[in-house]
Amino acid sequence: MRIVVDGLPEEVKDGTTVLEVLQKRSEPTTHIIVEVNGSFVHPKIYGKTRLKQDDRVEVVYPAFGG
Amino acid sequence: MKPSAPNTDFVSDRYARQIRLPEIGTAGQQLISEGSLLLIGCGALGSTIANNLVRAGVGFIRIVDRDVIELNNLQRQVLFDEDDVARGLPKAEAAAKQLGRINTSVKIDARVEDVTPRKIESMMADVSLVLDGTDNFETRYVINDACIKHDVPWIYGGVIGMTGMTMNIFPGSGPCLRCVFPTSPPAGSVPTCETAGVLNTVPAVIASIQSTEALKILCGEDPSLQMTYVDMWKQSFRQMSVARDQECPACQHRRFDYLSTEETAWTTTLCGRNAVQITPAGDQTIELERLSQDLSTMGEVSFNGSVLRFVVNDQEILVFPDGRAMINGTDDEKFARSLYARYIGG
Repeated sequence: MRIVVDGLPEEVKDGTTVLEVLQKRSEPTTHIIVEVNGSFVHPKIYGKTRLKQDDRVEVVYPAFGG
Repeated sequence: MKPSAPNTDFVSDRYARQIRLPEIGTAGQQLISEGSLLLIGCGALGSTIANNLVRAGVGFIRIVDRDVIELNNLQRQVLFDEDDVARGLPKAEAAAKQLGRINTSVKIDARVEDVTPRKIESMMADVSLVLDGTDNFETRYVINDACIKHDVPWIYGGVIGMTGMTMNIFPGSGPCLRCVFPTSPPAGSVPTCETAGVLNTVPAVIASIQSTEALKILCGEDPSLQMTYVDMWKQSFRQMSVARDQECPACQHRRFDYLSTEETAWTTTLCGRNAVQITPAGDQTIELERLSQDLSTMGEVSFNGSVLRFVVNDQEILVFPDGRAMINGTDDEKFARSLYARYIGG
């Protein structure tokens, strides 16, 4: 199925989880912010959150400086 | 001779442009003038927040910061100048002096201190709102715990590179920092403004959003509970909804780990050695090889496979794989903690 990650289309297998997308892209799996279709996904459910066709995933690196 | 108090006409003229706003008006200005805030950190975010809110006429602002002003601060920290650098003034002290010239009717309590789990509860005892101008994660967790415990709202703000984010945290009404980031990142695992840089317009925008939210809260408006994320280089401005974590240790179970010294990084002055040792909270493993690469553009770095030695501005920092650091050449714990936050992170 096709999803969109950070604005770019990506082909993934059906039922792919947020965690699998992060791992495939070698993204860290903690201390980031993941948004699916505009809603925040709690880190503890990355592995349980299955994506659907055309879902839009955004990975944001949080800002901790001041 | 004591200066005479500003008369009413003078006060209304000073705030005429914001009293004219229907969202504020005379009633809102009165509420703003009665507001009491704690601003933690007076760097890029904090100096812009203080500038905005003092000009807006907030009644009382306590400013707490542990750092002294350095030349590299002037690119983005709007309250300071070259003379402050030459004199090596503490940020809180220089800010108070400048803010006093801007608006004598605002009461400012400037404190050159580190915000610690032990001190924060008394620092916030007489305020109704806390603003985040800090540069490190550890202090934000302490703020979060203290604010949840005492039911005081706080406004998170953070910046790095071209990006920044902010979120209002209202105990009991929305998510808290630990709902978003359940644990603090290991030292050295996230970039700091010193290692990644920061564009000076980013803190200006994030601090302005924080200041606006503070004014709204003082005026009794319902605050936004969304997280705002800004990328200034891409001119992207996004908001996202964050739900509360029903298992959050802080806002759901009221377990305030970061107010307990056992869970928080601690600092020890090594007597007679002119050195301070900093030990981060919890079990950590730090990637020293990667950290040496990050630091290599900022000073002299050597790594022997076990200990990283970093020398910057005649200050020697030894970093160990468990995140522990030895800051040589100082016995000032606040200064040592600021170096740790700046170069190692956490």
